[in-house]
Amino acid sequence: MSTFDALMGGFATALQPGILLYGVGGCFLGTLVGVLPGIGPALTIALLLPLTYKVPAAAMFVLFAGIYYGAMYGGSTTSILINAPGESATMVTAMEGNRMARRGRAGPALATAAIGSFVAGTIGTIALTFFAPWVVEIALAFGPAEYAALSVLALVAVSSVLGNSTLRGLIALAVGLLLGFVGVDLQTGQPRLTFGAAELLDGVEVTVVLVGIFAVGEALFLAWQGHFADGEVMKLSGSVKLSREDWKRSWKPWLRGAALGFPFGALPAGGSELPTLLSYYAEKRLSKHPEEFGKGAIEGVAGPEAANNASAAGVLMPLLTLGIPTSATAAVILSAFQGYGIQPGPLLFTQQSGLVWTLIASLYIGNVILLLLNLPLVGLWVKLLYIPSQWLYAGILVISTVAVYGAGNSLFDVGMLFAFGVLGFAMRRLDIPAAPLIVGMILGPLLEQSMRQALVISQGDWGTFASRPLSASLLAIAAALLVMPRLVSMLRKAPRQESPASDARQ
Amino acid sequence: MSTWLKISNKRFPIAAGIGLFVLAAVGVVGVMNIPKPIIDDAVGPRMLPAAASLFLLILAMGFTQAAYQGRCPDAADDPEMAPRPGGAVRGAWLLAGLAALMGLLATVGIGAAGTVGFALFAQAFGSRSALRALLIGFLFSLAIWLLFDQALGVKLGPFLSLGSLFTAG
Repeated sequence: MSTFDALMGGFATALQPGILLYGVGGCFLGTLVGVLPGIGPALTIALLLPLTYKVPAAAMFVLFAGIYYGAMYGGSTTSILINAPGESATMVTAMEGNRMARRGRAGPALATAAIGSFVAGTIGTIALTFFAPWVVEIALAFGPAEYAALSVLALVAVSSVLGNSTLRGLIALAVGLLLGFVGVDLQTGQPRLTFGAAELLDGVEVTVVLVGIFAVGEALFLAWQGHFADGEVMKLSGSVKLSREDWKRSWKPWLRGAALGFPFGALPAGGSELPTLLSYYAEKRLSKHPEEFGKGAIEGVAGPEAANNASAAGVLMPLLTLGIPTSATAAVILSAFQGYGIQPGPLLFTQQSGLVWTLIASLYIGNVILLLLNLPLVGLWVKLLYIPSQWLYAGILVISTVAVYGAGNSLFDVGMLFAFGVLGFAMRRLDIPAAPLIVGMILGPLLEQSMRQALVISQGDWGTFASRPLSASLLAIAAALLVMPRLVSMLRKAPRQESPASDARQ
Repeated sequence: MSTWLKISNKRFPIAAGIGLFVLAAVGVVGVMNIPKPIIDDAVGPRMLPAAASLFLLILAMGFTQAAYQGRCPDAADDPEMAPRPGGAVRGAWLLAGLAALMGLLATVGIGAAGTVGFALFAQAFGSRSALRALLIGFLFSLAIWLLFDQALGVKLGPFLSLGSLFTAG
């Protein structure tokens, strides 16, 4: 079956009223959590994981896809109107879009963000549609050694490339790996790191960790800070549409943003922060109005917003084709797949072809729904920004606790949730990133499984990881990612340290 | 400045570094308690947990050293992120909310637990009217109970089970 036929099959399923309803619901919920500060798509999907026991897989993943894309759209509204990014990837929008709003151009800023998100989201989804089967072809040749090496690369990339410090990224990774190994070892049946607690035999629930860190930890941090209602909500002045001049200045940044966003999102390091920043600087350099940057240049909103949405499609590529999550949201979606007994990877495209193509088709449909939801209904979303923080955060904490309790009716899980909340608070305060912890927790056991399989095949020869060209190359890239930033910073420092001495000699 | 968990300068990062040491040590003890498998594999059940624990131990050393040298950022020292006065009170309200939820969820049901928890959390985030917070908390708890338990089938137990309070004793 060709890619096109498979995609059409996906559309046929995704457009069924029952599934479409989940898609619309997901887009609505995604925009809602994107707009509201303090909740993100990873947290929302984690809170909905208990539903995997009740809802068919296709409907559930269409819902998750809607939430994932919707949060990207919604995040820009918050960034533009209150200069507080709803999502970390919309920081640049917060910078430039808010300046536009302050100049009375909130409408065009919201319009270019929404249309750019639609254009780039669609381009990203087209790229996913046609590149994914190609990656699957390559991935089918992967053995366990390559998977182990790829897991190591993804773990290193997420920890050392993203975030502000390699040390702090690796700390989060090590904690995540330790958590991932808690529970019964599937190969030997031995309980590991459970300390006699029967509740830990099945391992630590990803939902508990994620909700603890993202919801409880964030709430603890905000309560500690006491910076409530600091952001001034800008008035939505003028209509949410683009003038001829705005169109002219936006369409190229949308395309360039999409071209930057998708490949960066698809890389093992994933993330959307880097492509959004690159897009911003590229637009600043290419713009005919560079003097407007920092004061509200429309290109500075159009490009980064497009990059942000295209990277969201890119992140799905390693997840669906290789089973490698490269962001916290992707890690939770992987966890949802596992909840259904499905392991993402190249075989997903053959064994669960219907499901995967329904999911991809729903991304196209979701983009259209989101454009319709975000442009005419923007006034509704803006109202959400006026919800007082005391009701918002109290609500987040109650719903998080109830959802974790509801998943297993276990107070042990609630206790763990609060313990991870304290951990999340400390991480937030010390600028330790959360994504490596979540990704490490999910990827650690998969890495162990691949290593074991590779060593069984090689009859215990560890050289198998170095002797296979692809595995060796992936490990070499991982080593380079780990060493290079430090090396570059040392090389940069070296001339500066020499200069005073050389000055003295002269 | 009277703030909750405000430990000036290096003390919070150093405390976190010590916490990481403890976590790594817990990992090492946990690994030592994993029974030896009957069949000897190249990658046994102990190997990767041991590697992760030792890795964390090394990183904890690096972090503590960096903290001691004042090279670990702490939001408390950032002028834009530093806490405002009254943090101890806000923290106490929030912890009280968490304790209330933990203590009441299984005994009196999500209705009472959610209402009390919501009101306590709202106080932590600057609510001025306890009565209003209780009312909104009750309606919010009812809404999530109806959505999760009644509509989506996630078992949360009865909305109110005040009877258990009297039968427990």
